[in-house]
Amino acid sequence: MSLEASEFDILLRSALLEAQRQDWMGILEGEGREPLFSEGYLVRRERFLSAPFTYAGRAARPLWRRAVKTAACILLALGISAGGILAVSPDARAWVRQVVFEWLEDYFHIEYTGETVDDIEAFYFEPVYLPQGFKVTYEDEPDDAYCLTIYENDEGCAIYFDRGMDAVTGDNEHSTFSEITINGAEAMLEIADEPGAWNFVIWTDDSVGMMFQVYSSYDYEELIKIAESVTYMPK
Amino acid sequence: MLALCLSMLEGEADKELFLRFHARYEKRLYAVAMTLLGSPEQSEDAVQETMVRIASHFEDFKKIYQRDRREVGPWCVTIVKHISLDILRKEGRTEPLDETWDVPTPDSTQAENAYQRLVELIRSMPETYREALELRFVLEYSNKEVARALGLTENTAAARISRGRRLLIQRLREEGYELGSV
Repeated sequence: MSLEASEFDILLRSALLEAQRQDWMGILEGEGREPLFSEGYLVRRERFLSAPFTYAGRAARPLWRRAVKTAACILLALGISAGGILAVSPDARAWVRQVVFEWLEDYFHIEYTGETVDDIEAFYFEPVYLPQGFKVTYEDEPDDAYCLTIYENDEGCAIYFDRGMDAVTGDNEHSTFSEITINGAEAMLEIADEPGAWNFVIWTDDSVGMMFQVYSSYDYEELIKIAESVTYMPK
Repeated sequence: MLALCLSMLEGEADKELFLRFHARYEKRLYAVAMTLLGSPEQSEDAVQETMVRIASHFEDFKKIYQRDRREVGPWCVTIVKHISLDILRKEGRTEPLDETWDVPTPDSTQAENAYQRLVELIRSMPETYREALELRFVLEYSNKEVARALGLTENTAAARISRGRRLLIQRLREEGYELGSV
């Protein structure tokens, strides 16, 4: 066998893949058992698979591009409405300062830029109010990054409560957005256009360095009530 | 308008292909990650990151899928393996740079060709070199990207790739395989 360097590299690529196949043959060719994925993973997966390329595009985009788009977003998407609010409302200025808000063709992206917490006790927030029949069915062990709690009723309807996210991405093609306040803080309400799709309430609390969201296919007015009742409950 | 319709159709077809790939490989990639990491939570993170990377480089995936579907499995295992090793590196759970290479004895009962022997050698070579070669030649990273992925300087990454490649060529030559001007 007589090879040029480039031919060897093609052979090497193929051999590296074949070595990988042989190393993991049992797993690649077997059916294997269905893993018992965590609730948190299943929620992330559902979001990802609903729009995989949009989600991936957001994850892969360099930070400087986000910053450029953010500037455009603040100027164009929020426009006069946000300008008016910014002129009079210290809370709104805080909201814009602490979050990077992107409004793109088919999704929005909010990134929390304030000081974040590094103490797991800071995650001990719970809603005092829940609609009748809902109870906790899943709760993350708080770590230093993120915490999810899921509440469900007997009909299988779930309400998700996240805190500590660095960023939130969502669909903006099939929803209606409005600015609201949650206990005086600027917040975003996203109401799904289609019945059964998720509604979102997203807000930040800069005093504790955290972004929160409550989301569900349940009535959005109830989600607002839940968000307004979120209280620090040390354990 | 026609271009827009075609691009929408293409987008839907891509999504369909990706969802089929995800359904087929999710648990396999999870099993690979579990083998390397031993932690269900970290393995979920590794699988999610792998899938996001594949979706964000979907044109690369399609090229492989169209060229030779048998390569899809080992290609995505290469990605999840690298992500898992990266998690271990960040936690200081990797072995220090290991250059020892326990070279397997060639199978004398059958005449091996150079390709089969190359595969055997890769399977036995130190992970330090193998991972650098995988990033460079399988995932087609530039030297700069390999450096960033492995936390090395660009020069060190280039040297590691070059040395790994040279070790394989040298070993094949020592065993009498003719490789020409490589």
